[in-house]
Amino acid sequence: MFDPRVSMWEVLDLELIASGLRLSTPLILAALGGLFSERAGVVNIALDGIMIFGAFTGAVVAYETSNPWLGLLAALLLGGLVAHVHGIASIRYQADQVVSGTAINLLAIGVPAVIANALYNSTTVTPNIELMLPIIHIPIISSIPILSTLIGKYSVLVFFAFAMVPLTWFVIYKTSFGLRLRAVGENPEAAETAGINVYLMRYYAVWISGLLAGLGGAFLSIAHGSSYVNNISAGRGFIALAALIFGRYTPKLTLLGCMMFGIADAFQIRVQGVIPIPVQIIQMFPYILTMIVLAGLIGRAQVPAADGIPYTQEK
Amino acid sequence: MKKQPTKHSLLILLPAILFCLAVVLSTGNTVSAAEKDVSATSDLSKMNWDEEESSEESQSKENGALSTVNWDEEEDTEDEPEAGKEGSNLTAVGWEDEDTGDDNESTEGLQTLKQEDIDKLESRERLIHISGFLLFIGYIIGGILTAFITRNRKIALAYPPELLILLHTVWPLELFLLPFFGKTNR
Repeated sequence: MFDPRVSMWEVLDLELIASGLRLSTPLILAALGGLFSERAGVVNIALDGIMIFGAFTGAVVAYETSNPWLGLLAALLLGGLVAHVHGIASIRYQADQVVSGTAINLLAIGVPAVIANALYNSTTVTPNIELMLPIIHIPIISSIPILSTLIGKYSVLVFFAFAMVPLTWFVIYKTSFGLRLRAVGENPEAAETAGINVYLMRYYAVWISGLLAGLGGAFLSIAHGSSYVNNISAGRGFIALAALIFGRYTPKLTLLGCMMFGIADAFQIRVQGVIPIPVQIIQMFPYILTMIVLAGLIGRAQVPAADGIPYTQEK
Repeated sequence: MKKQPTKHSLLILLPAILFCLAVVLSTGNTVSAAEKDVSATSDLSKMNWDEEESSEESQSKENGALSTVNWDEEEDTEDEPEAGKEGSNLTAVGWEDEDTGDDNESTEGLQTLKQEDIDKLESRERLIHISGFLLFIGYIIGGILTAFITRNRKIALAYPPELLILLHTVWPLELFLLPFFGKTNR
């Protein structure tokens, strides 16, 4: 319901940015995962499905073991395995990568519901976990007025996601592994001539993308929330992909894109009931922003040359 | 070309060390916050909630509780002595004193119980978080190191890439299989 007592300016405060940073965490993790995959030349459109699998696995394992870290580990590993299935279909059998990714997204709609029904007699929600991932208070910053709101207190995965950005940049641009990864994505024939196992590098890339997307999903169920609910990702995997394209397949700009979408998400939550617009229209805001960005607001992204093109190893 | 592994490894390790430090410090903050909550609770229980009524109570002890309420001015004079007699019998019991003693003991017992429960809960949570975090990080680092170690070994040649990735996922099993394949440099 619209509350005229609350003004628009009350919504635009530091807490909006803090919420935006929290909500951008799954986007950052999934987008960085997509970065590895896309840079190696494999389109991974299954990020959303992998996030759902990760969220479900994380919630179930955290509930059964009463340890959120075990849930996180399980989500990480299952995300990698699901992505590996996509990798086998795309790389070994050279299936259409978009179709393979879509198949995983469709599986993600049904499989968690079936398993949840078998375990907990509910197709839409799992039981609440006892202990969520810890909230980290940075010692000195927590006492500084503005900084304490912005960066003083977050879940451990939020810090992990932001730490992954420079780490990803370092791995991709400053290590030999990253060099091989980029070579495989730009010119796989030349990479193979140089002695690089193109298949193995692409498998590694897809596997890493699954690990990170699984972590992003786990954030939704064991850090941001306390259980798995149906449609928990709400299309965040696709938004992460859009952020990746917005960021021109670079870690730094991808981070900016994810933060922009995260703040937009936080904005639509906070503005509900403040402005006299139906809630359903307000909830469309992040997705409309995604479409505007993808329509070319900031120019064309430089896609890796061999992205989405199956490679046949010479015998 | 010589690499500078020391500088780069420090750059990677430093955030990890800071992160671990933050985890340990934040769990300490959680405990102290819980203790503050407990002490705040005890402070609240020591507050004199009946302070506003104390003046009325002192009158009621002498004249009877009902005498403080003016039900009807005409009836007050008739009823007051009787009410006062009955009230004085009741008020002479000293409900407040008896109850206060019991309340103090039960409140203190409850506080001790609560504090013990909170301490146990906090230590259990801390143990879960620390052990879980170590297991999580250990598994990831173990997987990365295993992939690094096995990159030039026979195990990387014996299995196709698909199976190798699965082995990296369950790297303890991979390490177990490693001695059976020996060492081969590519």
